[in-house]
Amino acid sequence: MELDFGAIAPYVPEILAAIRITLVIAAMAFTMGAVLGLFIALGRLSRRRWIRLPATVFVDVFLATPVLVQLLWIYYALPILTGILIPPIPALALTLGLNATAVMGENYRAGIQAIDRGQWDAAQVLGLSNAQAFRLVVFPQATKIILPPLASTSIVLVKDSSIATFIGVGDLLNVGRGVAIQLFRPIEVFTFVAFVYFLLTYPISIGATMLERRLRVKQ
Amino acid sequence: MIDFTAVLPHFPTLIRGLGLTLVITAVALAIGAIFGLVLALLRMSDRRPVVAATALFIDFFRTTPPLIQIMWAYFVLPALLGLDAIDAVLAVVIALGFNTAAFMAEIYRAGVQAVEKGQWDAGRSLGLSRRQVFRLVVFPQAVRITLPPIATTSLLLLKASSLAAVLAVLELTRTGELISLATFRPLETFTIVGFMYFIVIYPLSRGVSLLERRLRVHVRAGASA
Repeated sequence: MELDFGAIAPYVPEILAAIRITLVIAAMAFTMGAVLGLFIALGRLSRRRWIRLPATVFVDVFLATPVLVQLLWIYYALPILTGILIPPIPALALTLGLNATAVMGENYRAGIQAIDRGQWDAAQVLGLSNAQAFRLVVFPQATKIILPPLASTSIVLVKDSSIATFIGVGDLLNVGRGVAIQLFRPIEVFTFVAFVYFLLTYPISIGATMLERRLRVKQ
Repeated sequence: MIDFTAVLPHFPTLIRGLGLTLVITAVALAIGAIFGLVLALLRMSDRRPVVAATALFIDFFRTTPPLIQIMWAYFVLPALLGLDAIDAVLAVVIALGFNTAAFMAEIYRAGVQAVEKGQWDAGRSLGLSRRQVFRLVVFPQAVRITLPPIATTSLLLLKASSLAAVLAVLELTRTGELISLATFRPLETFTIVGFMYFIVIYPLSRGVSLLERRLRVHVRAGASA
């Protein structure tokens, strides 16, 4: 069989439009994870058991099961419990968002815990409250540890959003799959789609490496 | 009404699915560990074109979704090799194996590079050959650094094996999908499926944390000595 990448040309606009769905889902999940992750981190660091325990269980459940099973559960099983149907795109965004919450929560926690206890004590001696010490002393230092993994989390989210295929969302991969079947040209289409993913995530990966190097030099 | 007993008769099928999940994971891990080593050595070679090509290969597998790699292996690879078709399980194992190899290569490289340059010089000045320095001095230290991330990658692989469901491979997730359709009990089925993954992955991930802590203590003790 002869390769003919030109055959895809008429379908490129359709495939490019699907990129938007992929990116919107990844962005929603990222935002959710970045915000809720902070609560999870603080919950896991709490001195109160009834706060710490649920936060820990949440993280453990989401990190020790495949994201695909989480999606199938939220899309097919959760509506049975709540009585509320969830459309495919929100179901996917919610799944990836909760997943990102667990991952970023652990990341924030590692960042906060890496700051020497002496910094807390010093801040208190200077008359800062606990909240002030966190906001003005600990958090700015923790960002150095937190930032690089945030970049890799965003790459994982773009990649993971491809499980959209399983619940029929027209994301980049699923639209590509449809075109491949329609054209009978899986080689060209799947190669093209893989390349598009590469173009989306590779710049983030390079940026993350550069950021990591810069932060390391500063320390 | 929640009724787990409706799914109970299908439990042996789920166990069989879990078995295939573990087999896929183990084979892909073996491919990843060995091929990853090859990639790491090529990535650290002296020849620039080799380094650039290997880096591109690694980055491509790290930044594209494993799901498309699975589809690519199933739909595209046979055409490129001049075959009619390949077995779905084989396609999954190849795709996830290469994916894991890309991550492993970076872990190996980081491990070797983390060992101080002075160790190479010291080994050489003691009269060891380059190969001996690597085998007797650098490698044992690099293993300590690389073991925790390798274990983490293995767990990611175990979770990623669920993507084999896209090719209707009867591993745990796909088995669960079919049972939920047959019994009209998605809540019970997917809860059990999730729990089965959890039972396998959670103890292992606790083990990884313990290992990480133990190795860190060792390295620190070694550094102060």
